[in-house]
Parts: sequence; structure tokens; C-alpha cells
Amino acid sequence: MLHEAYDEVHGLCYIRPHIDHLLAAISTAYRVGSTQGPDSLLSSMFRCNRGLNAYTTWREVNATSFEFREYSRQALRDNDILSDFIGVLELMGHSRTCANSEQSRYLKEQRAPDNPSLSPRLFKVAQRVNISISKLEIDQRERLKLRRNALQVLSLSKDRFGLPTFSEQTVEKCLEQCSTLEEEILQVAESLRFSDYFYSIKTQLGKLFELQCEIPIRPSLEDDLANACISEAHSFTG
Amino acid sequence: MKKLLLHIGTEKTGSTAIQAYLQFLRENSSNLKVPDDTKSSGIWGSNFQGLYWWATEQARGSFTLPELHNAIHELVRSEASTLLETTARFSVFAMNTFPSAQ
Repeated sequence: MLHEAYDEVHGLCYIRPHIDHLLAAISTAYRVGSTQGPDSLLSSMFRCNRGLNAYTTWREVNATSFEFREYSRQALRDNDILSDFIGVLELMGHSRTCANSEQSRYLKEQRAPDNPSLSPRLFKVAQRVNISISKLEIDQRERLKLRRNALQVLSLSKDRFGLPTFSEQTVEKCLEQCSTLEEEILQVAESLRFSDYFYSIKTQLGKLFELQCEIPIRPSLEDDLANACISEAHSFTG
Repeated sequence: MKKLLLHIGTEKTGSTAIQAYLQFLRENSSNLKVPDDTKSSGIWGSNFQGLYWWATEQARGSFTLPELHNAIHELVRSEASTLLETTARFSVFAMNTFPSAQ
């Protein structure tokens, strides 16, 4: 049907390195109120493997061309998704049909800041924040506002706080699964030209594990930090 | 020569930023018309057309190929008047396969 209206149909899909994708998805889960622990979220999400599914599915679409590009800062043009996307448009001739000044103005002045992502070190505190707020007897609108603000306080505090994220057992289990996943990716994605980082899933997760080992565990600190964030959030929601 | 770029937005890969850019063009380009359509965000003019379409219900989770084709078919059908009848030489159809988490 599309080919009836267009001489050329080009597909474009970005794929994110697996561990980055998982951590971003966990961050989002907390931002929308999850009360599950990071271990539980990581274990359930690891099996989803959506990036790989996207690749295997979309490459079968009958398009003139279908391009997969890596979504990671080091691989994107100007380290930016929008700049990279506009670069693809330009390659297809878009620069002749739409004013470049508009693109530049948007990129420099209008673009909203990136989605603030929670550091993995803060996942457990985010869980505590969500649990505490879910128990408050307040209306839903107020609850959403309070949660958004408390997590904003938390995300801005990443230089001050630092806690282990995943249990050693969970990380080791993921490392075992990584071997299988790496083999699958190399099989289906052999024609792709992604960065070494994209393929080195074990390295990505291993770095996180090493980072955690350097941080001492402080019992009950999570609750203290969560309460501090909620208190601070109350001060600018009330 | 009419070209279509079909952007498939998978979860956590900047789709919202791309949508926001199309929104910006819609709101700031005096030579582009704004479609009267609440289902999708879009812009089009004599040379350029951009649309953003959310395929949340049809496309949640992992696709099978038949589901994928159904999703594209539904996408095209719902936007037929703007996609198929456009005179724009260059079109962008950005399709989000997952809902925004924000």
C-alpha cells in the first residue's frame, strides 16, 4: 500500500545497547511508580530483549531500505539522537525541502532537556520513595506530583548518594545470560556496523558490578534518603 | 520522486525527542499547515510532510511479523488522507511502538 503512494520507502530503527536499555527501562519504571526492587526488575526485563526483537522483526519489512542505527551517545552524530535523525533526513534529501535554520534554532533554543535518568545507584532509594508515597492518603494528582518532585530531588542528588544497586547473585545470573545473548546478537546482527560497546554486553554489566563493589553498604540509609527526598519534595509541592 | 521515511520508535531510543521536533516544526513553520486530526501529531506542506503516530495498542510488546503488518496497515489506513494523497516530495512518518513513559 505504501509503495502505491511512494517511489521509495525507507525504514529507520534505533537499537540501544542492551544493558543501557535495561537500566533506562528500570529508571522509567521507577519514574512511573514501580515499587518492585531493582533485582526483580532487572531479572524480568533481561528476558524481554526488545532491541533484538525489534531487529529481527523489522528487517523483514518490504522497504526500499531498512536501516538500523545504534542508540548510544558515542555512536550518534553530535552524540545526539535528534541531530543523528536529522542527518538521516539530510541523506535522503530533506535539507532541500525544509529550512536548516529551523532545525538549528530548535536544537539550540527550543529543545527540551533530555529525559533525566536515575542513576542505577539510586534505584533502591527510588523504590523506597515510591513505596512510601503509595502509602500516603492523598489524591492521585497530588501523589503523582509528589512522586515526580521527589524523584527529581533524588536524580539531582546523585553526586551525594551512592548505594549498591543489584545483588551479587542477580548480577552473576545476568552475566551468565549475557553469553547467550551475545551469541544471538552476533548471529542476527552480523551485517550491522555497531560500536564495540554495543556488542560487549558482559563488559557493560561487569562495569556496573565493579562500581558497586567499591561502595560500602550502609544499613537503613535507603529509607533515610527516601524520606529526605519526600520531605524536600513536600516543601515545593505544598 | 516521492520518498517516505518510516521511523520505528522502539522503547527508550529517543522517539519522544523526534516527536517533539515534528511538533516544533508544526508550531513554528508558517509555510506548513496543521492537520485537523487529534489522533496524530503532524505537519505538511508542499514539499515536506511529517507525521507522528502512536501504535501503542496494536504494537505493545514484541511483534510477530503478521502483527507488524497489521500495525502498518492500520497506521496507513488511519492516515490515508494525509499519507497517500500528499503531494509532498518527502515524508516522515514516525511511528512509536511503545507509549511514552512520562
